[in-house]
Parts: sequence; structure tokens; C-alpha cells
Amino acid sequence: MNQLTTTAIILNRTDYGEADRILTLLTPDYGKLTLLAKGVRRVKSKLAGGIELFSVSEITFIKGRGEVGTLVSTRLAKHYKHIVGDLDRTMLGYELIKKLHKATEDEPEEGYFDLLRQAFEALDDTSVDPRLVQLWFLMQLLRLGGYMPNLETDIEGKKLSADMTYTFSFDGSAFAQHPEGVFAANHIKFLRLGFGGHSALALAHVQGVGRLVQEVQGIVTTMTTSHIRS
Amino acid sequence: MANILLIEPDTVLGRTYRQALEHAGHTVLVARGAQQAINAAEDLAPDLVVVELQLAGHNGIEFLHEFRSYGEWQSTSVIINTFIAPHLLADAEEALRRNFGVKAVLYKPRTSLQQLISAVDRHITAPDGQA
Amino acid sequence: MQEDSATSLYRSQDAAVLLRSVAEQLRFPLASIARQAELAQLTGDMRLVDAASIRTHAQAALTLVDSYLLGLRLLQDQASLALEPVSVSSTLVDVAHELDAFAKQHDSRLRLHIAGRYEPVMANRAGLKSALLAIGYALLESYPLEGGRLTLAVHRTPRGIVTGLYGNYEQLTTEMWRKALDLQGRAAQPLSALSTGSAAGLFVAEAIMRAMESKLRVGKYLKQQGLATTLQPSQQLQFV
Repeated sequence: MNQLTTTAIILNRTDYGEADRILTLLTPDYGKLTLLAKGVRRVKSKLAGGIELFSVSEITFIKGRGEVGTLVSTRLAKHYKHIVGDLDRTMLGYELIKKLHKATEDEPEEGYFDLLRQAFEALDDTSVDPRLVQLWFLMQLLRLGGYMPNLETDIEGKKLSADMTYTFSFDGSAFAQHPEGVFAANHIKFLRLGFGGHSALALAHVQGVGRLVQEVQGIVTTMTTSHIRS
Repeated sequence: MANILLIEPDTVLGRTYRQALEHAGHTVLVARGAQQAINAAEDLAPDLVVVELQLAGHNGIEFLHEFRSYGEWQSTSVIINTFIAPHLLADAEEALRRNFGVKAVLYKPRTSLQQLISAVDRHITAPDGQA
Repeated sequence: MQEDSATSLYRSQDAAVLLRSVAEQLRFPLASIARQAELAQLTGDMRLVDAASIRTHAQAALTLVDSYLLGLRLLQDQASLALEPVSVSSTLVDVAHELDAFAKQHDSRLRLHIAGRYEPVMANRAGLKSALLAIGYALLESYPLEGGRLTLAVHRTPRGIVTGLYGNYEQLTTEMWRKALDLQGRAAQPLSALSTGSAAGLFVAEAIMRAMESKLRVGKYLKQQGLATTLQPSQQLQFV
């Protein structure tokens, strides 16, 4: 039988029969996989190693005739220890996994595995604020889903200017010039970095990142609520 | 009289809590860590779990994530009894209730044995899965 | 010589971080004592009062506070650091004696491993003992030891006389220890693989050793992993 090997992050596990488990995994090469793990209940629990929360594993599996394949073996490649050492990071990491699982209910495009892995890397870095990781993650979900805001021209089609202030129009997913607008050049640059596919770790080095995260949060979370399945 | 799974990393505190809950009429199995607790749950078939979030190695949330992934434990009552201060738990408490069906969150330094026993008695899962 | 303001700020930040760590950690033995005392009241059975356990936990808490205060003084006032010839072997014996009751409470055993005779080292006697005690209490409470054995050892290396405490802590790496030092006072569990609390005792020990111009590092001894420090033998005095 043709055995395939890939890296994987587990999204979900459920019981199947007396001794088996059904696993939903995200992989870079095969997208979302549903695999039957035979005879792995409790005594050889996932917590012992192999497939765990906040881990990346190397898996070998056999493709099934239908939608469910069979897991042959797993090996823990990396466990993100610092996520589990901190309650806020753990809760956020858990929410990100859930969100991504929901957002990719249909066959996910390329890029989602890397997104989750990079989110784990950033959460595992104790110098990076978890709120930045959360914001960055939502930006990537929007980007991968094709829902990016217009960060080049305003709602009237004029190039965004460093000298102007803006409000944000959710209808047009674009900025609108306003003399008392709360958004300025630094917000737009920050959003460009975030939506431009830069890593959370790169964003963490932006000057005044803490305040920027707070100030653009509303744009990103409102767009996420509107466009991303939850 | 119920089966209580107590996940408590401190040997002496674990012993004290166990003695108090046994005095209240329950059967108690103490596990010091998340892995041990999953194995213990299989042996005990708990009616209620009391769990500290700050464990060594795998934390209490990893335990809950694993525990709730098994069909027969999806409605087992869970109480958190933790050293994490309430002001640090803040938003996480709501998420714990929502995601893991946690029934109560207790702060160890301010929770007496009697209060723990009362919380346990209040939230024990009935045989039909109801608390 | 007056400290420059940067050094002084560093020391006060150190002190605040250490204080937070210690305050968080003190809740553990105090909660243990409170609940044990309550158990007797709850059950009406005074035989359930484990007086020995209450005593050892109170002693552990007092030792942590004392070690912290000593570390604080040594950090803030270099003039108080009086170095003298100290026998590492006899210090270890004292430490083992004090830790013994606590080890039994935590279902663990102590092993003393002093291979050979060692010349005295120049150290602050109280500081060295406090540091080793603080490490001992912290490691005895730690999860991986779980009924195992904690080895207190001294041995000689080309770098000097190494003394430390070791157990089955395979997960304890230099990288993990460095990260923990960075996270102390900021994370609830800076050394989450080992400790369910703030691991304050380890950081108090580190602060004391730094005041003595030494430091703790992760070390291996007799197939066990732990924390150790290297001390320089006194060139002037030798035991006959």
C-alpha cells in the first residue's frame, strides 16, 4: 500500500468505536486530512507524545478509498512549550486552532498550514505580545480568504496620502478621507505589513506596535466577523 | 458519594484535598499531571474532575482538551481549583466555561476545604449526564 | 565607589522581579499549611493534623523569605558580601540535613555524594548555604522528581569545584534555564516543564550566586541533570 509522509498539525480528535480515534489534521502537502488512528485510546494517549495540542508532527498515512485515510505512525517534530506555560497564550492558541478549523471547513487552499505553524511560532516567542499574534492571525485569515481591505487608494480612488487622516468604511473595505479621522500613515503602513504576508515576528519589531494593534483592532475584527466563517 | 478525579501537582495539597473529599463521602483518585490524569480517568470513570491549570509539562487546558475529546467524558463536570489569581484568569474564565464546560473556577488561596466540598457536591454529574 | 544609575536601576528591577517571584511562590506552602490545619477542624479528628508537614512547609516558606532577603541585601549592598573560606562538603551536609524532612513529605529521597576531599572555596558562607537550600526546596517540589531521588553533590572539574543538586530532570536544558531567567517575574510558570509555580527558589539562588560573582548553570552528574555552580578554591588556605 502506498504510504505517504508529511508534517501535520492536529485540529480535532473524536472517538470512533471502542479503541480508535478519528483525527482531523492540517498538512502543507495534502490540505486537511481525516485519518483513522487505530487502537490509540487512552493508554497510548496523545499526551504521551506524537500528536498533541500545539505541536507539529511527522505523520505517515495511507490514503483511503473514501474520505478517511489511516494513520500509520506519528513522530513529534516540535512541541511549543512556551505556549502551554502561559494561560493567555494557551487560550489564544486554542481559539486560533478552532477558528482555523471552522474557516477551513471546505477544502482549504494552500497557506493555512503555514499560517497555523507561524502562529504557534509567534505564540511560543515570549517576547511577542499574544494580542499582536491574534491580530496578525486574523489578517492572514482575511488575506487567504481573499478579503483584504484596500490599502492603496481611498474610497474615492485617490492614492492614500501620508499627510491625510482617514476613517474606515466597512462597506467599501477602504479608507475615507476625513479631517478628524483617527487613522493616519502609520496605521496604513502597519496594515500593509500585516496584510502583506509578513510574519508576526516581523510586525513585533514595528515601533509603537502595542498601540497600533489596539488602534487597528476594530478594522480587522469587524472584517473578520463579516467575512470569515466562525 | 461520587468518583472524583483530582489533578493536583503538589503532593501534600493533593493528600489534604483527598482526605477532605473522602471525609465528605467521595472516592478520590489523585493525579499529579495531565498524562497521569487521562490514564486515571479511564480507571476511575469520574463523576467530577477537579483540576489545577498550572501543571508541569502539559497544562490543565491540554488535559481538558484531551479529556473532552472522549465521548464518555464530554459532559463530566469539571471544576477548576487553581493558583492562578482571578485577575489573571479574567477573560480566560469565560472561555474555559464555553470551550470546556467548566462549571466553577476556584482560587486555591481563598478556597477553604469546605468550599471545595460544597462546589463538588453542587456540580457532581448525575448518571444521566446532568449536573 | 558609587554605583552608576544604570546598575542601580538594574538592581532595583532585579529586586522587584525577585519579589514578585517570591510572593507568588509563598502562596504554595501557606495554602498547604492552611488546608492541613483546616482538615482537622473539618473532620474533628486531630489525628489528621500532620504537624510534621505543617512544620516543614512553614520552614520552607521561612527559608525562602530568608534566602530572598539575603539575596536582596547582597544584590543591593556589595559591601555586605563578606567572602571567607568555606567548606563546600560541610555546607552540603548541613543543607541535606535541613532538606531531609521536606524530602520525606514529598515522597523523595536525598543522596549526598561527596567524592574526595576538597579545599575550601572563597564564598559568602550564609549565601552559599541559602542558595543550595533554595534550590533544594524548589526541586523537591518539582513534578519530574515525583518520589525520586535528589542528589546533592560536589566534585572537581578543570574549571573549579562544582556543587549542585541533581535529579531526573531530562527536560532541563541550558536553553530552558536561560529562557526561565528571562521569564521570571513575567510568566506564572517560567520553568513549566519542572515547576507548577514561579520557581522562585531557583531565581533567589541565582541572585545570591550572581552577587558572589558566580552563577547557576544546568549540569549533569552521575546520569542526573540539575543546577550547579562552580566555585574557585581558596589559594591561601588549605585543609591539612
